[in-house]
Amino acid sequence: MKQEKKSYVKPTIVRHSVGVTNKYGRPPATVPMSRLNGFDVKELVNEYGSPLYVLSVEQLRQNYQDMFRAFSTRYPGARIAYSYKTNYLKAVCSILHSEGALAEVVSGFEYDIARNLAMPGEKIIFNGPYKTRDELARAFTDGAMVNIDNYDEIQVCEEVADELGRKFPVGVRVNMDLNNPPWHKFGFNVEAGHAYEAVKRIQSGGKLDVKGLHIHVGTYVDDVNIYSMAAQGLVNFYTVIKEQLGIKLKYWDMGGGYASHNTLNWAWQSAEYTCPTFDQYAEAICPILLKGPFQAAEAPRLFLEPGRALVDEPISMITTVVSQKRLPGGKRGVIVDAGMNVLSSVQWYNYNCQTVQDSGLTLEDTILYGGLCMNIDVLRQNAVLPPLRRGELLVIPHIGAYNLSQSWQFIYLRPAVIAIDNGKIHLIKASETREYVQEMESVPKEFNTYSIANKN
Amino acid sequence: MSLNVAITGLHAADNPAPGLGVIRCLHHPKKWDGKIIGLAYDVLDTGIYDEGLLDHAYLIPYPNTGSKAFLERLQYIHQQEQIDVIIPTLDSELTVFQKIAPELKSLGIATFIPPKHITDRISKSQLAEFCESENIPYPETIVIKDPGELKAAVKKIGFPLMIKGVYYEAYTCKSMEDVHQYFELLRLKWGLPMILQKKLDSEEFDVCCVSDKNGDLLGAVPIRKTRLTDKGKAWAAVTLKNEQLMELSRRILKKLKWSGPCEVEILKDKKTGEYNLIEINPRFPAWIYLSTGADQNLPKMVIELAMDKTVSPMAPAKSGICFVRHATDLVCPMDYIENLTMLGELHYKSSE
Amino acid sequence: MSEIFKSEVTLSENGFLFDHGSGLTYTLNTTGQFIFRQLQSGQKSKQIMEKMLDEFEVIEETARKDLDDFFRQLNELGLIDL
Ligand SMILES: Cc1ncc(COP(=O)(O)O)c(C=O)c1O
Repeated sequence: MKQEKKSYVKPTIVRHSVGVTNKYGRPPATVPMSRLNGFDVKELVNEYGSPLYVLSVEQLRQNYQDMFRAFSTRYPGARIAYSYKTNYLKAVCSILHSEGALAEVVSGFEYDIARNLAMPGEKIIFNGPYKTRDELARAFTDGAMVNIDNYDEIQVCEEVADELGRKFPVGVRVNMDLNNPPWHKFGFNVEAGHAYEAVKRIQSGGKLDVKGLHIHVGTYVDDVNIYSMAAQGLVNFYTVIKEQLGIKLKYWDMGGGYASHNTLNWAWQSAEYTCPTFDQYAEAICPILLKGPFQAAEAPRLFLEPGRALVDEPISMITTVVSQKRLPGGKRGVIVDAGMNVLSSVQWYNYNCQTVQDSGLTLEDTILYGGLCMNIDVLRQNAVLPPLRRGELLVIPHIGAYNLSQSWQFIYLRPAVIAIDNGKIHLIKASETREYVQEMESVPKEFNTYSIANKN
Repeated sequence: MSLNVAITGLHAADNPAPGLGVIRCLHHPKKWDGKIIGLAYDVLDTGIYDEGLLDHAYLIPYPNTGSKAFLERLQYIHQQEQIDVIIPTLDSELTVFQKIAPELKSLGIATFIPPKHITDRISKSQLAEFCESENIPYPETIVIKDPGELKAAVKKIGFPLMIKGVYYEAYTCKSMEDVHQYFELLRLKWGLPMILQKKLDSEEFDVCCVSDKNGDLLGAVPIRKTRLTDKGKAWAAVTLKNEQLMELSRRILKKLKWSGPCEVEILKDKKTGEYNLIEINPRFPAWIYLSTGADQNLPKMVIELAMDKTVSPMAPAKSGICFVRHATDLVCPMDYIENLTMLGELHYKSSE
Repeated sequence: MSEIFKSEVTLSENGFLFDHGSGLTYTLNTTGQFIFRQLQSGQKSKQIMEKMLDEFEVIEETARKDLDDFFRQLNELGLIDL
């Protein structure tokens, strides 16, 4: 007689300890996320390999539109310049440009990416502490907005202006004592009078013309008051340089730093309660700037340079369990095939981990290890997860910022990136191959005696 | 009218949560008419096992699990028990309740807590600014945002001083060595900013207050703690008649437009005789049961306010009433633990 | 009670396990409970394997590996003597 068999889950026994005894007390990691942006997670991995980065195009566009609406409805003509460093995949930049974003770049390499994507110079903001003479010459010629970071750079810019035989508009990056630690590395300090001196120095040189002010208060700044203080600081500073030096600004730039919906490792509360909305940021900034020393028609253009707030959420990582083990002391360790080399923000973020398959309701405190041969490769010190077997999948959402641009190639090849748009999958970056990784290398003949001897 | 009331903060071990005191107020002078539903975060939250106090106990998710999971669990409990009012009693829950208050309201569950923009003003790092702008006396305070500011701030305030983390913990410092030691400790734990505050040679008073949605004070019980545990928690206290404490509390809550319960901590400077605000806890204190003795049943008042009743100010609290905290052991069968562990709920038979 | 257990154990209907010897408590999932009850009725691992294959939608290789893991864990927790 054939009886209907029961569905099977791996047998588990979990010892009760403080915190584990509240079955409602934990994130719903056990609600399996079998589909991602409408596609079966397993099938995506079968097709494109694991680990795998997955971009939701719709979410990316939505974030851009939300932010643009929040600022442009409060400050007429506000513009978003996407901070390339956060993730400069060509496809990601292109999508944001198609929505209307300008490019914010901090190196010649990034500048080149933007130009290559047909961004005209006047839609590029060139920031950063180190720009070469050639890069500056190119940027000035293209009509890009160059924000000067330090005195040495003033000097180089003037030399470039001399060579090109023209006077160029420039922006000045300033910093203020707003947060901890203050970002004193970049630009000229306002409180100490350095910013005023710099503007004065540029104007008196007669070769450049100060037309912009730039500030970037930090990254993952979830206190909107800091933006309000920065905005007020810009207004005050503009008032001074306008009255005393006759400066008339064309633009001011509030930089990036807007928090995304990830919780920091050391945070006391989940980001859900602490991460401000775009509307809250805009409300903290725009009304203050609009009280600046100008008539409405002469309001400087406002730029924002968001990075993580736009691209963190839209990208997820799929990773595969390679092993589960018991550590001395009884705690469970799970090793997955993605390491911190492709998820470097684990240093900052307490990423969520979702199971893909239904693994039952028994949860256990788990150390989630990355797959690198390095003891420091830990993705989560304490994830609460159901039993997992080799081959099972996990989804780590909201990882789009910095993890790709800061990834490093180490012992494994880096994974592919796919974009899902309107129910269609596009491969936007193939996974690396050994040939690609070694493409720039060469072995002088003299070193090669072993392989030549063993060829035949 | 009989109302079903859900209450959090049921753990009363070495640092008692206020929920149990709130429940005992509701049962005073006679057993509460509706159901009392305990909302607990752990199977071993002690109050669950105090059989006479609760009719039902349910486990709920930690607020950091996310407001969605939190709300869903409350919805489930509401379906079982038809909750009329929830009284949250823990600092760590305030944000989630503020966030889901509209959803709770549409489910027919009332709360009476101040909105976020008001509680933000009394956060440790904002309080000095509030006092400054509203002319409320407070001990000299400097908010440190950068380690580089430490020296100058210490010099300005002088010893002894208090050094406080943004959320929790405070230490007294008598020397620069103390400052460095505790600064590092707090920085590792809570990060910056950090609060430096002059330590006054002073007497400490607490006032448990309830004010309505205009910030008008309706009831207040001022006390002096007469004995503290080594963690600084009250273990004995006495109610007072003190117009200055009342006046200062009234002024503070009106300026804030505070709506709901709170505990106002006030220091009287021994030198100048001035009363200084040091902190406002946005919830009932753990010693709230004392309020019944002072003829001010403040939890019952909060329920009336939550139900949108008009409430008139109470007569001043009776002074000279004391409480002593007394720990006791509760005994229960393993079934209780099993039910909570496996099902996340426990129902006492007496309530059926 | 089977002699494999180190002390008296009570497994409730919903998978809550109390170890009378140590005073510790545990949660078992459905498969864990199934195996545990077999152990309590004195079955040996080979018979338990067969029962598992009868009862659940599972292939032998998986069941064997999981059963091994499970026994190892019970042993580590000090509940049984392998
Ligand atoms: C000048 C500038 N703008 C924008 C950003 C983007 O920052 P975020 O990703 O925090 O928005 C950065 C990042 O460091 C930056 O240096």
